[in-house]
Amino acid sequence: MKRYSNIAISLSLQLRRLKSKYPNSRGYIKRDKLVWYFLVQLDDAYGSYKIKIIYDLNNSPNIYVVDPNLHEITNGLEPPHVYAFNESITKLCLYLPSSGEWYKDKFLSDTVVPWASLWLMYFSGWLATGQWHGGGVHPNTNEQFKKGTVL
Amino acid sequence: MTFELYTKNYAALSVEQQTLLTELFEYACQSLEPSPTKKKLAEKRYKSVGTWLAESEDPMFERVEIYPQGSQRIGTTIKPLIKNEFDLDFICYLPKAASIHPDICRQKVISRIKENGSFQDLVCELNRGCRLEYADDFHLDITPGIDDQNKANEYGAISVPDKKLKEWKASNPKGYAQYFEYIAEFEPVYLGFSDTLPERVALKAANIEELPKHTLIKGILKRSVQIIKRHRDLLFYEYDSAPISIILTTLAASAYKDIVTRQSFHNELEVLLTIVESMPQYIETKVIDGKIELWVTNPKNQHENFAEKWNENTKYLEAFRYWHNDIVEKLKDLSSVSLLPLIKKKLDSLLGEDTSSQAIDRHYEIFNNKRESNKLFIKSTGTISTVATATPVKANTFFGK
Repeated sequence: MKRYSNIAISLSLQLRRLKSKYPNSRGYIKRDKLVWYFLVQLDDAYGSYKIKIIYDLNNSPNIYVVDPNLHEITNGLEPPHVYAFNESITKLCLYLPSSGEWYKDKFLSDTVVPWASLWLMYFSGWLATGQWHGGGVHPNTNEQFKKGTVL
Repeated sequence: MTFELYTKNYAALSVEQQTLLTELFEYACQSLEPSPTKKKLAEKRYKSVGTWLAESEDPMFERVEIYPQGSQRIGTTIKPLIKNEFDLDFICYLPKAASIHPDICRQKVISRIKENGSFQDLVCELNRGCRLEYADDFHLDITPGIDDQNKANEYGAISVPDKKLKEWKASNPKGYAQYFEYIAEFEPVYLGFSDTLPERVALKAANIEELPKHTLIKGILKRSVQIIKRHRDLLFYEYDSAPISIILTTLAASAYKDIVTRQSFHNELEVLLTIVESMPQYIETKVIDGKIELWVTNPKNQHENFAEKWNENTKYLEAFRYWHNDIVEKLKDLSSVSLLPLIKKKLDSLLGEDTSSQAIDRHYEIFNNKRESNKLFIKSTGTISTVATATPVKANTFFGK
């Protein structure tokens, strides 16, 4: 679903909002790219994780877990809903592309950041039981994908 | 004697962590008991057996009544470890059978049940009565009972065939259940908790985000008994001389009755842990005919010692101690970890892998209900919580392989 609105929230406003909603985070904009780091402190049972967002106005935001190294925690076993998972990168899939869940007229602070927290909560459950309790869509079983939805 | 399991191990945990553990215990117990559908089905089935017996022309069945006994009656039933088949116990009360020999009485009940085509293939004989074995994960054990022959003059007292079927023996499932339920209904007093509105407002003003809730566990004594029994089943999986359910249940009830009328608690976890920890204290020592004996007295019959065997062979007391040390150690262990995957491992050894998985599944199910009804928010630290902040968690669909 393509939005007709062209309004994109500027990177500087995105960053300001991220920093005001999450005061213990840090970030910068360099060569039209927003880079933002945040230590997500979940309740004790789910742990704390440092995440990183890289975003520019021509692409969807990329969300990484940078510390601890999830690849080490899982002994290399890949959790569900990741775009990349190896020794050096854990890149999360947090929303259905082209569904309107994310669009550049939305604030990162109000969308992908809470979704990253959610992902991390489900990750703990997956580690504990082997079940992913967070639902979602897998591209290889997804009708929409087969029908050629733009990723 | 002071109890330290809670104060030394759990008191320092965050409220969220305490709440999580409390919920996991509750969900574990839910997964261990028959579902409401199963309970209804069992009820329907035993009632239809009752009706069939009542329709007999044999005068022995006049005013027959079938009623639940044991853990089922008091709501502490748990799934057995191996066969996954619930064992539900019933009394077939036959007020007109008092003059009949127990074994004849038993045989008459069995043949009457077998006369019915739909029960015929389900019946197998048991020492004390018979069993109706249904294909779908439960069986009903039916024991005949007559009016009390010992003049106990007590509510619910009956007599049931003894093991060798030679005579009638005193029993009182209704009376025991009444005693247990009476104790189970006591409500613990919680510290720092008030129902009065001004105090709740004050708590809120003091920036205590979530008011303590003490309604996470449904019937704390019953849940404690279920946890205790489950751990016992696991621990004695390959060994005999396990402490029998009636002893564990009676000790837990005695402990609860005592602590709940004497002290107040910080939360439900403390109640549960204190029940478990204090149980051995309620084993009595009596001098009978010049000999010291251990007693777990039947609250409905002062002359019946549930722990009679303990005085014949010391292995039973040793087994009880072994069980108690183990459960206390495992509960201590559970408090020593904080991350969910580690909690899961500790719960595995306490309650079994399936049960702990189901508890965690249920935990996420409840969490997802809140997610779907848009009741989740994110705090400035990144914590997801049901406490409203300016940033609700919007709907999303996790994507990717």
